[in-house]
Amino acid sequence: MESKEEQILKILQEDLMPLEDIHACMVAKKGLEGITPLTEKFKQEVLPIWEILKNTMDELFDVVSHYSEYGLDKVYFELGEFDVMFFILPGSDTALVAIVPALANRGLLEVELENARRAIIKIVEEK
Amino acid sequence: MSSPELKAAVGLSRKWDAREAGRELVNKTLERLEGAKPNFFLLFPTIHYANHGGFKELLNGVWDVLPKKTPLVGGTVMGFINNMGCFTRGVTGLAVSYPNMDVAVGVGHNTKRSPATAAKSCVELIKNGLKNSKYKNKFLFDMISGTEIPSMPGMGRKAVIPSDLMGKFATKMLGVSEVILQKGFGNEEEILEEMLNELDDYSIIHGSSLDVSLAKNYQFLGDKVLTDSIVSLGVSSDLNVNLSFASRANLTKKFKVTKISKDRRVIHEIDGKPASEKLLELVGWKGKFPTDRQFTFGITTYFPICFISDGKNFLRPVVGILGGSILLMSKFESNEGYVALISGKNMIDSLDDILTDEMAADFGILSSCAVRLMGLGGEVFAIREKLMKYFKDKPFILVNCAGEAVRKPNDRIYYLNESIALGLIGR
Repeated sequence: MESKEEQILKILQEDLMPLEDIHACMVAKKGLEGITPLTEKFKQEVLPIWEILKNTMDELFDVVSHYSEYGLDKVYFELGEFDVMFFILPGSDTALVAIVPALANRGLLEVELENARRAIIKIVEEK
Repeated sequence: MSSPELKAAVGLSRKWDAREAGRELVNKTLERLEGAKPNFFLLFPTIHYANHGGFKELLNGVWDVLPKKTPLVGGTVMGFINNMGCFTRGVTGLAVSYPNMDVAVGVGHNTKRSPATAAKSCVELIKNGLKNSKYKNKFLFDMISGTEIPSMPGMGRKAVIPSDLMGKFATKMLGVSEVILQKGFGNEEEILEEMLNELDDYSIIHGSSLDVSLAKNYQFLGDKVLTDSIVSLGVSSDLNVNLSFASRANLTKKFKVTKISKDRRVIHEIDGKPASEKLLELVGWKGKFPTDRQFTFGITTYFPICFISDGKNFLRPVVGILGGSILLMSKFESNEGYVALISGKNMIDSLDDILTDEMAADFGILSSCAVRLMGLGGEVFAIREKLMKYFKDKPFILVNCAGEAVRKPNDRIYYLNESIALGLIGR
């Protein structure tokens, strides 16, 4: 039987990464600890600024951990040619994070990210 | 005497591979029909299958399982909501089995080049197919290839072209492209109006097929993958059909259209000023032209323009700035208009205007504007909650289209954008 980590990785790799506009995604907290597909699987476009993104995301995870208990649900920030979308796992310091091109149709991606977040929450909460 | 048994089922597949998805979709749908033979099958995939095996393979998968000769129509959509969830990737379908029902399918080709001819071909097939039906309630579901924006030489596919010169060039290109390349406006209103002449007693619910970038969309008829076509399903039965629509936009500033294209889809002047300049002023935009992103995800989504006809609001999202002109996907049929404001809350609450308790439906088909889906994003799940509360265990499908329309028998057609149209069907 697959572990919870394997099940979550499967969602990232099979549901989200094949979407053309998902350049990278992970379930992570500060320091980018968490579940991440192999960076080789990320779209090439995102790799040159990967280090910058890692640092900027740390700052955002501080916000996530401070406000999650008050019901913070999503955080977005725009960085150059990219949007970084945080779908927070309720009441935690952890989020489903996706890096998408700035001109992507964010509304459409949100629907699939929400589906992924719901599936991840279900896995996390399973006994 | 008890009424005959009606079985309706909605299916879903989230598989990436087109053939596997087609098979899984039909298997799951037929399972829910509990062995009943479907009278028809409606098919709605997102555009992703174009790059994951192709739509021919999707249909091959469908026909691996679906009983031969089942009437099938459908088209690509931007997303959908059904009993299983909200999705912007995957394929859904609806099958219905009912003894007191006759079904016919219609098709018309070259909708962008020859809309009237396409409409006539489609109507003829439907009328001939149902001419011997003894049932008096007629219902038509149709999908028409929606607007496809051609890629302009040197510009690509852009929503905002600030230069007046380039804007005029793009406007001309759009017309030329419609005839030569069959890229351009969907002509849905022309097609539907033409069809009405022959279908007085039909209830109609319409959706315009599309893809994510308004580049290319597909329609399906039986085992055929089509483009630039209308496909329709005509049903003659003893079932009742209840149609309604809603938008819930708030009308704000009033304006006069002072110059508009012959087909009423490109507005050149508003209140005597270049339309793009005046529109931006009316929505409170200051400074230079918005970027594509600011325009599409801001003005297009939340500030449609609106005209009033027969006491109803007809919203028209502005999908492009072509220099001094503004581009709509459908006709602006008045010289008086309003800037409308539509919030996410409006979009969700508009469901309350159509989900009334007037009729206990056996199943529901909804067609809703893709712009709403883009605007709502993850909040679209609130719409599903309302639908689930209304339909309970009855199947329903909401498809996000480029345009939607409803028409009650012997009435006018209400061709809509940024709205939601509902067809309730039941005994």
